Amino acid sequence: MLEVKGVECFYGNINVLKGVSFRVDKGEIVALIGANGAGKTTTLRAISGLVRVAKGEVVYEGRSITNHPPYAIVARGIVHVPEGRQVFQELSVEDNLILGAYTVKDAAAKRETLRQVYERFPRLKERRRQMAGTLSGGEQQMLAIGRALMSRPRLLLLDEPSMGLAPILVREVFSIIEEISKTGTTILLVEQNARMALKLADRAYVLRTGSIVLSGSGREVAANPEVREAYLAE
Amino acid sequence: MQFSVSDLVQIILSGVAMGSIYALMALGFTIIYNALRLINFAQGDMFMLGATFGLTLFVMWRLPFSVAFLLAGLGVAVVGMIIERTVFRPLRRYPVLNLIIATIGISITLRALALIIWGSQALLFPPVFGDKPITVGKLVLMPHYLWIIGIAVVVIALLQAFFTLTLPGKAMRATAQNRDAAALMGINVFRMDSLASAISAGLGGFGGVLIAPVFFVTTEMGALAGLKGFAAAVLGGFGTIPGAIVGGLVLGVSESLAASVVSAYRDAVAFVILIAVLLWRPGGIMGRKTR
Ligand SMILES: Nc1ncnc2c1ncn2[C@@H]1O[C@H](COP(=O)(O)OP(=O)(O)O)[C@@H](O)[C@H]1O
Ligand SMILES: [Mg+2]
Repeated sequence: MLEVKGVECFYGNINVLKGVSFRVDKGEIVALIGANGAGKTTTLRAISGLVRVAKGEVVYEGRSITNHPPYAIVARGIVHVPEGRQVFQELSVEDNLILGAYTVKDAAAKRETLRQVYERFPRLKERRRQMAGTLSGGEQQMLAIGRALMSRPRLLLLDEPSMGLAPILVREVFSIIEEISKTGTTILLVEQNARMALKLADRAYVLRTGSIVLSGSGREVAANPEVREAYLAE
Repeated sequence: MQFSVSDLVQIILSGVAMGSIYALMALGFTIIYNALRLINFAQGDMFMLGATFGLTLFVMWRLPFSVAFLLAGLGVAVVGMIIERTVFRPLRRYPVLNLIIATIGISITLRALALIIWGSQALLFPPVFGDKPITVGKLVLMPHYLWIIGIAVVVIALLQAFFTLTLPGKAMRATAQNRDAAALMGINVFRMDSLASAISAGLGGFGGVLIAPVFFVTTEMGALAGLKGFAAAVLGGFGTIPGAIVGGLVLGVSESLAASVVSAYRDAVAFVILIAVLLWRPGGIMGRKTR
């Protein structure tokens, strides 16, 4: 479904992605793990069109989307939930959700999706008139995910959805990801919480200073001695 | 000095009318600042273009004032859109200071062009709102002030409705709050820049064509209007919509009151008020209480 082929990215003249290649197949949950600063966020930003790909290619459903503008990539069904939630603080919860469906033209479909998102996240419905900035961290993460679901993505890119959340909420986020996956949405998951990500993932890649250094099924990667030492802290 | 109630009402009414114009200008500064983090020194020239376009449409082409008013405002909005596409967008990847300097260049260019088209003479715009005072009981009111206030209220209400009720309006606010996140919603953020630039310019243009029947029209009239609008925006709390409206009204009314006492210093008064308020509240009247 998605193929990232030898992608290189720069910030100024610092080379942060040095030829990253991996693929995500339809229906999979693929985890991308790595230390802070490895280039995970940059990889997702390269896919969603927020940073320029200097070299290499991003291919989605057989067609290149390399350096397409973000709105064109969203329209193709790829939705990116950015690191740190990034909800629109000074808009209401409901307006945040409505903007999630910005590319959807059919009003009836929009209403139906909104109903489904509220069903999945009843807290958001309770707080729909509140400014998003007044929500707790966990609620903001639910809003960020709910907002992404509003356009009925086929491929969801999640950047550290469990970051900064209490353990009980971390478990809730992971169970939501599992549910979303079961409805047929393909997921590329970036996580610091490697243990839980590897448990959930069908396959996983390890990114180190801008290159993929290891790949395999979630279980294989979790069993790798280096991964256990570096990311699972055993 | 002795004021009657009628005098006082007159003074406040003219202050609110001028304040509405300043509010339109301040909103222009605010909207483009929120979109592009840019202080647009050409905002005053949008005001001038509104007045000169209005003059051409109404006096030379003899269109009804309502049509001339709408076309002048829309015409200036198109100018704003062209400026965004040809100047702001290509300069986006450079530091914002470059853009701000560029707006000074735009301002000089527009004034030079206007001078070629409309000449250096002050031009008279007929008093379309009527020049006979109307009396309500003991009060004597100038109709043009009422018209200015009424039209400005409608323009601001429509703007508010756009921002709070429509999808493009919400998308514009979202883009101002978090550009990357907005792009990830599928919003074409460059189109939002274009829209913001058009709305800012259009607000300036409406201000200019509204004031034209009260004052003379000159190609330099934007300079002071721009400064006052900017002062109003800072006074109210730069970057906020309620701040722009409150700042405009406070500036207009206090200027009008001060001018009725010491008429020679009308324009200086605006800036004395600005400095005094900023010493008292550095974030402006409605601004966040930071710093
Ligand atoms: N906007 C930026 N400008 C300059 N360097 C950046 C920027 N964003 C990230 N970097 C650098 O790029 C590298 C990769 O960052 P990132 O993709 O955020 O890593 P991760 O998400 O794996 O923590 C890091 O060294 C980081 O410091
Ligand atoms: Mg990151």
